[in-house]
Amino acid sequence: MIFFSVDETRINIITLSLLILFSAIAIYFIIGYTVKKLIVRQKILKLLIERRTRELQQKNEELEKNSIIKTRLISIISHDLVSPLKYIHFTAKNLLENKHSLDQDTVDEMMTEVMNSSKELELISTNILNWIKYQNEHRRLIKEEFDLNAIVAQIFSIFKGIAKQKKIELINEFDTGMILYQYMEPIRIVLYNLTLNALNFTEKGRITISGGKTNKGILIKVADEGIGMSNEQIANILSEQFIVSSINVDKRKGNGLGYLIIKDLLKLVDAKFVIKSKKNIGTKVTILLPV
Amino acid sequence: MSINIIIADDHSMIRKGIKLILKTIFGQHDITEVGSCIDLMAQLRKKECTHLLLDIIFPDGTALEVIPNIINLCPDIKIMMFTMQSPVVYGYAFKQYGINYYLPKSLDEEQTIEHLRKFLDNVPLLEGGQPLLPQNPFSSLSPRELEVLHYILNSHQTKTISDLLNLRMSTISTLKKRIFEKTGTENLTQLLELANLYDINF
Repeated sequence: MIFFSVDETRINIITLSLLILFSAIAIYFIIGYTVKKLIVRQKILKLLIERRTRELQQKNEELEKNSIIKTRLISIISHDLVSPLKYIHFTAKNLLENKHSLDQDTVDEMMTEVMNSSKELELISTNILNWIKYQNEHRRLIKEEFDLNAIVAQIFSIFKGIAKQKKIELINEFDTGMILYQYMEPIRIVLYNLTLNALNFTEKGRITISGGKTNKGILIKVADEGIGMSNEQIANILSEQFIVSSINVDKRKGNGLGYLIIKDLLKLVDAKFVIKSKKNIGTKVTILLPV
Repeated sequence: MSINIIIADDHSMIRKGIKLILKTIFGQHDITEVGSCIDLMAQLRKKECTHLLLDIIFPDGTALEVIPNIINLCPDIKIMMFTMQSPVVYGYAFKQYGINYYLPKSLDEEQTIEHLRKFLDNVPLLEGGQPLLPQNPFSSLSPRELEVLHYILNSHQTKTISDLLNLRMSTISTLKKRIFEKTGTENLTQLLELANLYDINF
């Protein structure tokens, strides 16, 4: 009897201690689990914050770059647009007022300048417009069918006068019927700028636009026989920090707006491009458009 | 001595416009046009010149970099700055070189002609002695600092500027620091904004 009771008490104690032990273990695990969950949640939060911070930083950098470009554009507009326009006006007025006393050579010299300068102003204005148009990131892009041969022909017709003056031959190697289903406007603007660059940096020779369909996409090559670029200059153009500048390594005129537009638009249409150039031999820019 | 003029500007339209004014209004015919610092120096070595109309910013550098050479080469030359830049900012720097003529490109035709007349007739435009111009944050910059300012605004790195101006990197850094101090700006963005506000072209 006594034994039994002792035994029962012992069992009770054992059960109790086991119960306490189990509860302790359970509590330990529950706390551990909760703490772990909290830590994990904290880590996720931290990662999220980090990601957001990075995004914000990136946005900030972009905005900063954009604001630098905008400032630069204001400078280009006042320096390269406003004052030449003012002097076109002065010159035309002066010519009109003195038409009876001026010799023919002077008149010709002035009229040629007015003709060339107004063309140049048209080209710069077009490009500034091009850049502004594509600044809106939510701008909807539409793919459409177009004939590459016709696009190139249209671009060449804009530059016909300048090319003729400089005795540069413009060659369009695309056959008619080279139909693309692509974002036409950005591609047109890119080709416009590549041709303009080629013209600005070529003294004589040919500018050729060629290419075709490959299994990786559509290749378009713009090649000139101009003064070319050094590897350093190419690296500078390709760098993310590339900013339009009025001074160019070559001490040649140019405001850098062209490549800024080219890079922005090619990114927009998901195309890749390669620049190959040799000093005094020429430059070839190859674009690969995704199919 | 007969007058012989060089117009140094990187825009051919502007050169032609001034050339025509000089021809029709002032009857000047000995006029040479140049579009870069290199061509200007080559022309000055080739032929003497009495009057020089000089822009500030060229594709191959700024006028501030070549003026000492020009004065060395032709001590008697008369120079008139011919620029979009505000005389408030650049006027003092050029006065240090003894240049008292300043023709802003923003002037209208009548004023432009008036300025050219004074220049050709040796009537001083910017009075000597007391500054008659208002001040702005850029007015106190020295010629060297203005040179560097131009390249900073064009986002050039210290290394590139030191190569372009043949100055040590430490010198450029000091000049940069002083520009930020004098203009009360902290970084390029602020400096650009300020430059825009005061119509500094670069």
